Amino acid sequence: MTKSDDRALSDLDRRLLAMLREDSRQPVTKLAGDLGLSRANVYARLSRLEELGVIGGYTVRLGESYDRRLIRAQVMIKTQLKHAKTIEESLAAIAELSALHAISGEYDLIAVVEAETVGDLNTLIDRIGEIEGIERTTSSILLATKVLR
Amino acid sequence: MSLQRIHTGPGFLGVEADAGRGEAWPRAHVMLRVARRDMARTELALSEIDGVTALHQISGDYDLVAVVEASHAERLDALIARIEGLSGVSASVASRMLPSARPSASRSFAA
Repeated sequence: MTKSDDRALSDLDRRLLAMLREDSRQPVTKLAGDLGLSRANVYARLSRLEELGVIGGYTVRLGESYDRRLIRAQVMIKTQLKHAKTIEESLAAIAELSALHAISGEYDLIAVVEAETVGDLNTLIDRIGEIEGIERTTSSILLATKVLR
Repeated sequence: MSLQRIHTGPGFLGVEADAGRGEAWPRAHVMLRVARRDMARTELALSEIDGVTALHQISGDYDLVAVVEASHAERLDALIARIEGLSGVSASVASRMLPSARPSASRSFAA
């Protein structure tokens, strides 16, 4: 491989990525064995792929039965402008938050949150409402998704 | 034709948007109030519109959320107007989604 081309992925990189997408917790020894590489070589590839941003992180995929149990809601949030930055930080620290988007109009942010029970959801929405600088929230439970593409 | 029921997993805005791609396209979040008897017809009409990347039923004052995207702002405005004008839609609130100044300001945590 030429130096100018060091951002390009080799076939081995692609195979490594494919294996990690199947199971990101595979031990490096196993990955190295399957690819016919040394462990040091796999470590080097992984850190290079992380540096390039090809690997953005290692995540967990929830089993469908658990995922199905989660109740999701969208929370529309109106904030006081001067608190915008700290509010985003406080929200991002909430583990049950699955997405946060800035919008224009009557509300300033949309948060998507997940909880196991209606009680947990209620507590979570209260917690969001108590963050300093949040004027008001309007929550809707996501009952069903009809289109996603 | 009945719409396939997709369980409400991590997807919210649409496949591309939830993956953090296609930030360049202007998007909007549109809440719609639809009478129960008009629901099936309205959902079908919405699902046939190309720019609709997500459609959810919700609880509360509004009944549906449509997430829409277009190649530029004028088209998005036209698309929002078309959706708000669908027969069956009795009230609506459209919010333009802002491109995030910081990547962390707009993101999906669950991939």
